Amino acid sequence: MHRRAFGVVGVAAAIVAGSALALAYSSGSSADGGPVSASPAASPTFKVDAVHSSVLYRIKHLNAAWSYGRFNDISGTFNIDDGGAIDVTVKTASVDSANAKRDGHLQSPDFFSAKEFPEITFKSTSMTRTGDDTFEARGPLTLRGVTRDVTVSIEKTGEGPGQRGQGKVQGFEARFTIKRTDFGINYMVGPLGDEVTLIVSLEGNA
Amino acid sequence: MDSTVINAILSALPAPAITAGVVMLAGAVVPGSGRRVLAVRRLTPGLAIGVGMVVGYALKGTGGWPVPPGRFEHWVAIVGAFAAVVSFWAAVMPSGPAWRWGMRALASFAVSAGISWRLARESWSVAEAVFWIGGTGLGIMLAWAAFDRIASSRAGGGEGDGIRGRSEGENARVMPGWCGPLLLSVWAGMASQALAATDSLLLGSYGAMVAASAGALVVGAVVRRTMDVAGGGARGGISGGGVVAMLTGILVFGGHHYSGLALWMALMVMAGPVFAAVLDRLMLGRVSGLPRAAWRMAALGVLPGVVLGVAIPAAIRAANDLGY
Repeated sequence: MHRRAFGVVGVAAAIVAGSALALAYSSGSSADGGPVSASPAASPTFKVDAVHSSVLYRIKHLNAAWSYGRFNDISGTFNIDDGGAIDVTVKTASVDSANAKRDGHLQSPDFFSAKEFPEITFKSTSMTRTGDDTFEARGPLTLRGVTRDVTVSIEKTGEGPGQRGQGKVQGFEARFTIKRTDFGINYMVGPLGDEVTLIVSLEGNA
Repeated sequence: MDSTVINAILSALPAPAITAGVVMLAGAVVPGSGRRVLAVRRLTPGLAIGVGMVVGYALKGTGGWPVPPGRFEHWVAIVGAFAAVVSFWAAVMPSGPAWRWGMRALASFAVSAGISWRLARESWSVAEAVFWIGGTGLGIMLAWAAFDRIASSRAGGGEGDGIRGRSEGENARVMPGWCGPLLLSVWAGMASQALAATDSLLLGSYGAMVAASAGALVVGAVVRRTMDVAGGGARGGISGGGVVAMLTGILVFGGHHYSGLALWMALMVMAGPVFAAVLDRLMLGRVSGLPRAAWRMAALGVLPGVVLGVAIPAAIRAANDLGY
């Protein structure tokens, strides 16, 4: 009987060992692919300058006031002129609501589950000029492992020579609203609003 | 804590509790004493909590369709369903300690490998994967075995079949049958509070659902007094303690890896049943009845109690700052 027990426990040990071996041969790569290359347009592709870019969110608390927060780790590229593309990644662990304890809660499975889903990504698939300095981008927004197509209105806020006259800088701001429940962030709907407005102001260097 | 949050947690509890209670009751009132009845009673504890958690997960409505598991929350439903399926298997397999240990090992390490897979693939080295999968599986298995002893109303720690009388020496009652499920429920409840106090109300609310489902086993224990529903008394069957250990184990794992439950806290919570089982074996041999149950309860709560003693005041301070 004990021999049988050892046999079954051995199978359990094999589960552990098998998992580890499978890992050893797995690529370890995430599902995330490389950045979307910009269309071959005349305008250059700008690399996001994280120091001078901001991704803010606002959400209503107790149906009273807007509570604002931000994400501090932003990266990506953009080229909004001439039907270009936007490819932006934000690290969820960089959420900053001006309260460390609340930041911990926002990173937990109640909200972003930052360790499970470390990135929020947006990659435009189409870009339409709607005015002199306004555009409309469509593309998949991936948040907490859920991907939904969103349409983002964009305003080009300026461009010019880079610091010390080197290269070129360009900036834009986008503002759009999502329902967090569409992305599986269902907790505390009521005390915290369902609609979240994202304000994305990016400056890029080329 | 904001009353809306408390209400959100409390409103999620009736569905799993009622479901588990109904399944338990149905299993407990099956008349007769044959093999078929024995099999039914073997499968009911695991089935009751497993189905209760699946129903509770579905009605809570925050996780969505759980297969394939895209996020950690999905594992609550998957492990609940897994426990229900294992219950059927366990009900028909041969009895005996070797089979019981084998079942514990297989189920615990399978669950551990499942919940760890994503982190193992994306974040951990092979050594880390072996450590966490092995450690988590071991923790669940030991908590399960400990519960089979301390949550059992029988002297042999769940050796009796609960239907036909066995010799008094093998099958003597050491505490009222309803105390066993209560022990499971209290432990799951303490784990739930630890999770809620360390940044995850979501995981804490699932822990509360485990506690509610385990509490519903009291119904079966009261209706069928000879049935040892919590400690694996339906010999060879999956015990209520086993299912509670698996479900609470995965939540503690999630609380540590995805939320703010520190490693020492996770270890203290999982060690609670083991500590109580060791104490029970060493010191409580001659105590019986309600005092035995009370001592077991006290021993079970010591280590998780330390965690709550640290986590809850910190959570209250933070909640006061945050306004919820």
